[in-house]
Amino acid sequence: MEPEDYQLIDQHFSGKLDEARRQRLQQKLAQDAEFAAAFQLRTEMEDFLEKRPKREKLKAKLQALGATSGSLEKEEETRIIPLAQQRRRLFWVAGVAAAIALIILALWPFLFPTSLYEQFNEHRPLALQERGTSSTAQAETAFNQQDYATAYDLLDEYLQTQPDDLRAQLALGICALEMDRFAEAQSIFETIRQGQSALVNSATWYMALTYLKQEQITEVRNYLEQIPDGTFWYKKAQELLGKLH
Amino acid sequence: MPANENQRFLKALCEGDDAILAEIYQRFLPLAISWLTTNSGTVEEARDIFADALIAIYDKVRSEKTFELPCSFDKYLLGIIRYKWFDELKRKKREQKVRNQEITRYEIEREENIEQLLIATQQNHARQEMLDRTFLMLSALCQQLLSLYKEGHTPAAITQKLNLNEVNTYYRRKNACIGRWSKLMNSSNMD
Repeated sequence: MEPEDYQLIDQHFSGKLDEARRQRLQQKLAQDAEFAAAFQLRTEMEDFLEKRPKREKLKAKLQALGATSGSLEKEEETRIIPLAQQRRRLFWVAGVAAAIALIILALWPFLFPTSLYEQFNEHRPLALQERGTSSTAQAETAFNQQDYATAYDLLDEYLQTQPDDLRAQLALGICALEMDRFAEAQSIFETIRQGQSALVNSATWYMALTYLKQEQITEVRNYLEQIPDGTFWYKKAQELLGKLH
Repeated sequence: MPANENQRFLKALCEGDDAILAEIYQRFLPLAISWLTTNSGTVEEARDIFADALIAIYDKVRSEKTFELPCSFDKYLLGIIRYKWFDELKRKKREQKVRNQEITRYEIEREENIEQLLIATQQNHARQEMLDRTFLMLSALCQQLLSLYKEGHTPAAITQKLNLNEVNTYYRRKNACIGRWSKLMNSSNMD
C-alpha cells in the first residue's frame, strides 16, 4: 500500500472523490486484495464510529438495569415494632455503631494498608531526548511533580515531533496508567516490549504494574518473572513477587 | 411469541426504550439466571452474559438493513446466552464441564434451526468488541478527534476544539490515529 492509496480511501470517506478518482478506487478494489482489505477495515471503523455513541448509551442502560433487576432473593417482610421496643433497639444500635466506629478507627492502618501498587509506583524522573524548549521542560516538570494529566497532554504533543523518543513513550504510558487508562497504557508498554531498546525491561515492569493496579495477580507474576537477573528492575520485581499472595 | 412482539423488542434495543428494556429484563433475566446457575455459573455471571447478549443482538440488528427473526426473541436471546456461556467456560478452561455440555450445545440450536444465525451474531459481536477494545487503546486525543470527525464537525472546528496549531495538524493527526487503529486491529486479528 502506497501513501496515495490511503489518501484515496480517506477521500472516499470524506466525500472528496472526483469521477476519475472514483473510477481509480473501483479499479483498485477489484484488482488489489490488500487495498480491498484496507478499504473494508476502514468501512468497519467508520461504521463503528457512527454507532458507538448509541452503543455506549445502551451498554450503560443495560448495566444499570442489571444492577436492579432479576433478584431472586425474597424481600424481607415489613414488621411492626412497638415504640418502646424501637427506642431500646435504637439505643443498642447506636451503642454498637459507636463501638464499631472506634474499633475501625483503631485498626484503620491494618485494615486499609497502602495498596501494593502504591508501594511500588515510584517512577524515575523524566529526562527527554529533545531538550531546551519550554514545552519539554513543562512536560518533565509536570511528570516529575506527578501531574500526570498535564504531562500526558504535553508528552502526546511532544511525541508528534519526536515519535522515536522511547523515554517519552514510556512516560506517556505511565501517565495513562496513573490515569487508569489501562488499555492504552498496556498498548504503549507492549509496543516498547516488542522492540530491541534498553527500555524493554522497564516496559515489562510497567506491564506488571498495570496489572497490579487492576489486581490481576496471575498476569503480574507472569510479567515479573520475565525480568532477567542483573537488570535494574530485577530486585524490585523479586521484592514485589515476594509480596504477592 | 408473535412476530410483532419480536419487532417490539428489537426496536426497543435499537432505540434504547427504557420501559421495554426493563420489560426484557423482567421477563427474560430470571430465565437466564435459572439456566446459567444450573450450568456452573453464578447470578453475577448471568447478569453480565445477559447484557452482553443484548448488545450482540443490537450489533446484529444494526449491521443489517432489514433483520427478521426466524424464531421468537426469547429463543434467540437464550441461544446467544448459551453460546456465550459455553465460550466463557472454554476460556476459563472448565474443560470437563464444557465436554459435558458441548454435546447439548448444538443439539438445542439445530432443533430450533437457528444455529447459523447464532454463529453469525456471535462473530459480528466479537468484531464490534474488537473495534471497541482497540479504539480504547488509542490516545485520548485520537479518540476525541475521531469522534468529533464522525459527528460531522468541520476540520477547522475540530482544530479549534482540540487546541491544535493548524488545520494541517488535524489532518496529520487524523491519519496517524486511523493508521494506529488499523495497526491495532490487524495485530488483534493475528492473535
